[in-house]
Amino acid sequence: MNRAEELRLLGRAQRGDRDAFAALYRANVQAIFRYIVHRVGDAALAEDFTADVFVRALKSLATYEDQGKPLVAWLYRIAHARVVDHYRRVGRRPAEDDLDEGSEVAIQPDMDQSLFRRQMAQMLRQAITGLTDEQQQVVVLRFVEGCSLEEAAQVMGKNANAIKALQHRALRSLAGRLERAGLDIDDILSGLS
Amino acid sequence: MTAYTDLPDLDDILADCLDALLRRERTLADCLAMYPEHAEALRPLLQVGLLTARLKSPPMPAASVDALEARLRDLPLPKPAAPMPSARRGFTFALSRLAAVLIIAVIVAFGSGAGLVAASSNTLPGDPLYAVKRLWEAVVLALSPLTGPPADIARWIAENRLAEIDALAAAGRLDAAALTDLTAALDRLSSLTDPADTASLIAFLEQAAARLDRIQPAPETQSAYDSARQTLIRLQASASPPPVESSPAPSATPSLTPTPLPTEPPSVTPTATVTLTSTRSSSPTRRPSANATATRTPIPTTTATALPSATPTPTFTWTPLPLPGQIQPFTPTATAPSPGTPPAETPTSDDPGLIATERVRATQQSVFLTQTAGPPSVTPSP
Repeated sequence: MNRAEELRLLGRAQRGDRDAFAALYRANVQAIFRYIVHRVGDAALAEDFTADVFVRALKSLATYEDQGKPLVAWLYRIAHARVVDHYRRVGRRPAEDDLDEGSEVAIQPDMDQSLFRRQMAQMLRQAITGLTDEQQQVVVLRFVEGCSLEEAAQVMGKNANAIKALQHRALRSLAGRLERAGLDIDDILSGLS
Repeated sequence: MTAYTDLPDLDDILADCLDALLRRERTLADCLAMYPEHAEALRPLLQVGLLTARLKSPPMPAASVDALEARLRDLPLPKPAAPMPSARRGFTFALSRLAAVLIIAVIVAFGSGAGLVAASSNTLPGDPLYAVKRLWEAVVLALSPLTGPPADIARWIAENRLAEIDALAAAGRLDAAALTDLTAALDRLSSLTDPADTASLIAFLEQAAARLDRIQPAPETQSAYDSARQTLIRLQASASPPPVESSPAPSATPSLTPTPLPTEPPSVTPTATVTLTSTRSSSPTRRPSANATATRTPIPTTTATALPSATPTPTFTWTPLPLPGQIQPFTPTATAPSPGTPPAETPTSDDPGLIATERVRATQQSVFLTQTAGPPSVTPSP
């Protein structure tokens, strides 16, 4: 969906056109779902949170003002707030112990490739959910969703230099966690070929 | 544990290398060769970035997407909030009806009120009686629909702002406040226009854009001018009906999607932790660029659009302020396009390469890392 079409649908949705809002929903639901599932690590929970995001967006639509950014940037911010609220209520993040336990079982010689990939993904997912909220957000936006520095900066309300520093810290933390779990990233990347 | 060195420029180097890797413009080896002094610190960071970029997850199930849409359709759409008028020069236009009636009573009681209002009709910002002109507009708007349909009054006010801008520009007195007031007037007009009168609104906005295009703003007013143009573009876009499409709508895949990554040459570092069978050749590999690439929706920049218009340059004439009941409806000069069909529902995307999931709490089977293809048959030249 291009920007002009999005603005057109946004205007109509704000004037009460349900079909227009439905079109905006369809255009953005998968991006928001992917973002949340990578943040919370649970597909069913991600579905619930995705619903919360769009219900909140619907209720706030009347006061939404276009500021030259794609609508998805606003939706990402709502999703981020929902995830942060979840972790605040739950009161815990995946500890590094979880990652270590997984690694003892995962790495086996001549492991089936499909199983190997799933295990690596699970461990990487756990490592991501162990990051701080902002680090999680930048990792998911930059590397999972493929946002540019400027796009990630728009979503997170920061400048590009802040995003550079944040992604540096996030990657350093991730690399440290995987290294402490006894994983060799070289071999992981090699095993994925 | 590897010691990471926080160098002042490592953030920039890392960002540059990551962008190049994700766009498949360079390999990991290329990046490390470009910055040998940072290679030890860069390597694990770039590797983790590559690994993370390969994370894939299945889409939200279609049934869940449909169910959520049905739930959203059952929820009431909130009514749009009334636009807040500008507070330029201390004016507030959210007058209560009682206050407006009292003001009219005072003006009439003092006898010369009507003459004062009439004398202010052609004033410009900065003129002594301009405040009376703006006050009168506020009274007329506050008393709508007694004084006339709100949309017609809003259009009259927007026309006044346009005329003022034309006159100010001609006199070399155009300032940012006048452009800001125009933006507010156009926003008010757009929000008060009934959807059935969209054609009239579109025609008015087109004429407003044409008049604005004829103005050459001074550097100090360029920002406000651009903001006014941006507002016009936004209002025109939201008021315009969607184009009639003969083919199905494109996929609803969000525009921010990652690309498959190039394979990296195998590490020569011996490892005692993991032994995996590698099927790749030792030559550097680079994925052919014929695969689907990431797409980004460019955000359109504000540009002046030259619209055809037959509107003559407005002249400064003595025109009495319209009193309630005398406001003439705006007649569009251009034929607006007929409303198009509503946008077709865009289907959700299904990546056949991903594993479909059921609604389960555990995600061990729902997330996996993508498998890269084998090395291409042609090794790219250095």
